[in-house]
Amino acid sequence: MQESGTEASRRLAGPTGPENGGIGAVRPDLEQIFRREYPRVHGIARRVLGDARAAEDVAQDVFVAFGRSSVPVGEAAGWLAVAASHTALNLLRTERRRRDRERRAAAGEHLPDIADHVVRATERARVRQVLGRLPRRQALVVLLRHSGLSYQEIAAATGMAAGGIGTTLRRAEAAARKELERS
Amino acid sequence: MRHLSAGTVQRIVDEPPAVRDTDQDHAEHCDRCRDRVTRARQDRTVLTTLWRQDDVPPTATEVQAAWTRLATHDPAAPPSRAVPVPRRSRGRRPTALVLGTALVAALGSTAAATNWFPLFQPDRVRAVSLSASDLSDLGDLAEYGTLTAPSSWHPRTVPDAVAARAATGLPVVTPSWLPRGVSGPVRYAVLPRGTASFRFSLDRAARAAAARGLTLPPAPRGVDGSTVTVSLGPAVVQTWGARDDVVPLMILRLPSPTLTSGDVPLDTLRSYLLAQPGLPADLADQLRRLPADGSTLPLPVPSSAAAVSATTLDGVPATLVKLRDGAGAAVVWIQEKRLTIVLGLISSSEARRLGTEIVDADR
Repeated sequence: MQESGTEASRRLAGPTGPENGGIGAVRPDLEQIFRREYPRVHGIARRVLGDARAAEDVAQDVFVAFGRSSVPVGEAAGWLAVAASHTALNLLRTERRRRDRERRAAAGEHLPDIADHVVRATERARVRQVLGRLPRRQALVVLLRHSGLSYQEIAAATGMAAGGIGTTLRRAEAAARKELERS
Repeated sequence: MRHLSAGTVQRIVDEPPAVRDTDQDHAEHCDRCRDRVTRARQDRTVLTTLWRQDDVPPTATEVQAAWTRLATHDPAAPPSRAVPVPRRSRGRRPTALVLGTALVAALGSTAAATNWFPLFQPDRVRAVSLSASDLSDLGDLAEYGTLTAPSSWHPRTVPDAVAARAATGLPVVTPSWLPRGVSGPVRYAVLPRGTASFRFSLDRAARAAAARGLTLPPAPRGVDGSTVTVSLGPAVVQTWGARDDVVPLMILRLPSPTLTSGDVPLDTLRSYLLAQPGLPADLADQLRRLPADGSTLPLPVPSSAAAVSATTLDGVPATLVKLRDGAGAAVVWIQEKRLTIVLGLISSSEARRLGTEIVDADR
C-alpha cells in the first residue's frame, strides 16, 4: 500500500524533525516543494543521463540535499534545477571516463566495443556525449533553458548576468550542433 | 551597419517580446542576421528533437513512489552521492552591502573632525566596479547586523505628471520623443519617502567572518550596535511599454539619498568597514578613492555585465552604463540635489539624448 503524503511527511519530520532540533532536521515545506518541482528535477537528470531510473536516483539525492538546506522557498526551483544539472553532469562525466577506460582496455585486445557501438548509434546517446563535452557553464544554461527556465530565472539560479545568458546559449547550441554534425 | 549580438540573435528565438523593435527590424531586413536567426532556430530544433524521447514527465504514481522513497530516507543520512550546492544568487544583497559600505565610505572627514554628524547628501555619482568574484566574496548585509527596510515603499499609480508632481514635489519631465522600439502610453507612479537602517553587530560580523575562516580587525569603541540610516524618496517613476512584464524605458527621479549616523563618528565606521576582511581589495581601493567630502554617490555596477563611462549632459556630470550585450543602457546623474536615472532597452546614445533633454528642461 502506498504511503500517503501526510504520513510520509510526519515520518520525515519525525522525532528528529526541525521542531525538535534534531540532527536530521528536515525543512517542513519539503513535500509541497517536492510535488511541485520533482517533474522538472527528474526531467533535467533524464535529459543528461537518458535513463529514467538513473534520473530517479539523481532526483532523490538532490531532494535529500535540499531537505537539509535552508534555501528560501522563492529560490527553491532554481536551486533544485541547478543542483540536478550539476549532479547529473558529474555522473555523466564519471560514466564517460569509465567507458573510455573500458574502451582503451578493449582496444588492446582488438575487440569491438559492441555495447558502446549500440549506444553511439542512437541519437539520444549522441546528444549526451555532446553535452558532456560542452564547458560546464554552457551545458548548465542549455539544460536549464530546455527545462523551461526563462533568462531571468537562469540568471537568478546561477548567479550569471542576465545579459550574458543569450550569448552563452547561442555558443552552446551552435557548438552542440557542430559536434552532432561531426559525430 | 552594426549586426546583432549573438545574445540578441538567441533571444529572438527564445524570448522575442524582450527584444527591442529596432533589433527585430534589423533581423528582418539584414540578410546576414536573418540567416543567423534561422540557424539559431535550427540549432534549437535539433536539440529539442533529440531530447524528445527523454521529455516524458513522470506519472502521478511515479511521483508518489519517489516521494515515498524520499520520505523513508533516514533524515540523518546524507545523499548517496555528492550534490554540488548551487551558489545562491546574491544579486541585491551584496549590492546593498556595497552600497551601504560605499555610502559610509564616501562620508567626509568633516563629520569626524567635528565629531558631529551632519546630513550627508551627495551631488554627483561615480560608478564602483564589481567583478563576479567580488559578488561571490561578499556576504549578505544581514550577516553583519540588522537591516530594516522601509515597509511601505511600494509604488502607487497616479494619472498624470501633474499628480506625480503634486504627490512628490518633484518636477516631472516627459521627453518630447521616444527611442525607436519604445511605444505605448507613459505611466506614472509615485513612491513615498522611506528610510532604511542598518544596525551593525560585532557578534554577527565575527561569526560571518569566522564562517569564511577570517578574523575581524579590532573594533573601535561604539561601532558595535551603531546605526546608519538612509533616507530615500519620495520618488516618481515613469514607464513606457504596452506590457507589464517588459518595460522598454523607465525614468526614475528622487531627491539625492541622505545618510545619517547617530551613534558613532561616521569616519570611524567608514574606516572600520573598509578594513573588513570580506571586502575585496580592489573594491576597497575604489571606495577609498572616492572624494572624502561626502559629495559622491557610489553606483555599484557589475563589470562583467556592463561597461561604465563618465559623460556630461549639457555640462552636468553623469555616469553612462551600457550592457555589454548591447541590450540596454542607462544614464544616471544628480542635478540640484535630485537623482535621475534613465534606463531601458535603448542604446547609450539614446540614453544620453533623453538625459540631455531632461537636464535642459530642469534648468
